[in-house]
Amino acid sequence: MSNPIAGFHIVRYGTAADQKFMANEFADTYDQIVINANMVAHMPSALRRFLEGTSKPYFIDPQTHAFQHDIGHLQSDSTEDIKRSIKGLIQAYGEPVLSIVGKRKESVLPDDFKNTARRVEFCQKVLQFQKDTLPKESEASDVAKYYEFAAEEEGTSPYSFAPSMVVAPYFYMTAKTFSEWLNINLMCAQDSRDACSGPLGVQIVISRELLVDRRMRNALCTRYRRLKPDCFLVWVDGLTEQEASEVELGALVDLLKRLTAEAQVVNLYGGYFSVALKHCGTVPGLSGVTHSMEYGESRGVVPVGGGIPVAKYYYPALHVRLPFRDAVRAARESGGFRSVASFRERVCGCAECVQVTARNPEVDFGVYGKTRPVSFFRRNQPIVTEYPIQETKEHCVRHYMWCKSQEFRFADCDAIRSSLAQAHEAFKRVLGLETVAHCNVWQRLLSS
Amino acid sequence: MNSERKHTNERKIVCRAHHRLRAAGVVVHCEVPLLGRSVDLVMKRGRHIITIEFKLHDWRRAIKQARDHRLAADFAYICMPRRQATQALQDALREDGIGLFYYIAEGRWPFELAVKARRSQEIWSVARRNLLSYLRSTSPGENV
Repeated sequence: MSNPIAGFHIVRYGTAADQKFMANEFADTYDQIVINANMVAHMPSALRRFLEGTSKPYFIDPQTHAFQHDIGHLQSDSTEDIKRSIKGLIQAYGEPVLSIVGKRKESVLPDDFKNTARRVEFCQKVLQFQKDTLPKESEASDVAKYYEFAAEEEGTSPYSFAPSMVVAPYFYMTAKTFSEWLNINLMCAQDSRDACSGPLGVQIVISRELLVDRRMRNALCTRYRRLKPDCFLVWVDGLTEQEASEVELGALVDLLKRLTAEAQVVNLYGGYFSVALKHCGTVPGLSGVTHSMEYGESRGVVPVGGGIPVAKYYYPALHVRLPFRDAVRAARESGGFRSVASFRERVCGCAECVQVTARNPEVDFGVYGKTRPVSFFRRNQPIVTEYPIQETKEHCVRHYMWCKSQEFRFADCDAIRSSLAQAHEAFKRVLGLETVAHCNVWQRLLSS
Repeated sequence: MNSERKHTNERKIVCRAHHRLRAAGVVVHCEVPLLGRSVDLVMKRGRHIITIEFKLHDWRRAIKQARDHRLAADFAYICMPRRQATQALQDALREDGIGLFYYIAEGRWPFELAVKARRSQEIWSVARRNLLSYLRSTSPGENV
């Protein structure tokens, strides 16, 4: 059976605009792609072409949790109708979501999955969608036929459009709903195991409150470990590593450690802390960490999909995206504006920064913060604010991706810990303790 | 007071101050974009640029915003209704070099100087140039 996780560095396909980065200059910097099911339902042809271009293994997040939240999260803001991409998923997944969400416009409940036959059929359809959608698209494609021909000529195997694993249906659990959804999640995972001959991923999506509750965390680990899937995919709702408390991050470490004893584990929304957990041997068995293009290191379960954040400068020493004004302060404080060499040594020497700050770093750095004023009305009052221009976003994405590439590769634990301590000291005065406190928290947890 | 009403009241005060300053012959702009924020008022006094952030209550937030203004302006002020400035407020202003105006509802000049701002030593040339360019490209009455 092939390995469902191709490597440690996993990138989430967020929007069509990500393609040009993921398929071209950054294709060699990461190992695998994860795609949300609503994107697959929405634009299968474009995704097929994209995957052909990257030749990367991928898997699909089936996003079944989408059907348990308030239906408003699935509706279009303008028409109040269910969004087209979600409608596609509802059709593909069938009952019970077709009747309850699609027709009655209600959210699903645990009771809706208690009927074994209905649940088994639902699981089969969710898996089928992941297995078939993109391969079917590719069968109809002339380009695929060309690739097949070319591969035959070269004596290599053509790109397989089959995902590297399929993911069982799953639902979000909070401390309050844990007892009600846990059994349904376990049954969906078991039914999927029975229905699937290839690698299976089991996704665990929990609230922060549940994460830190030792009793519930124990129960979760004990029950899930019995499933013996090929891979656990972990998603803690809205957990931002740079903002999380030591207790929360400690609980995350505990959860990941215990799950890695049973199967491969991927943190589906993780930042540098997760990456360093592996580098420092705190969670040596961690198989992968996922992020998106300049964001996606943290994600709330709602809204389901969508949302593109404002471009920010990823400050390498702090491993955090800073509002541009703070990035200016930090760069100046570090002495990075004194010369080109200082900038490369003290702020960033990635390929993008080398190109952008080639003459006068203090002035050139402005490229990462270039904006245009936009006027709009808020609460009936005219407001003018600034939004990054397209060029700014692209510079920020490239810089971010080069930084991430470096972070995933650089594994000297002593250097990681000491640079975190240095960054905390260097920037606490100029940026404030709240902005840098994570460096000390991470350092402590990586040392324990 | 709910946040919408508070915002509306703040906005009214900004507009009134703007009108009175203009009537007094001051070159003053309203709602000026700066490094991803929107500055309530920007005055030009000779070669100096002065920013003013209005807040009815949350002075900590106002100071945070005014700190960012110091990347482009010579002097950054917050403006609040007249009150006894607490020690915490005075310390925060002193530490960051931010000035404090009290808003005066009557008369020609809308401010009473409570704490003088220190001249910014952290002007970033790019932000300064962008601010000046925006001020040149808009008429002072816009965005009111």
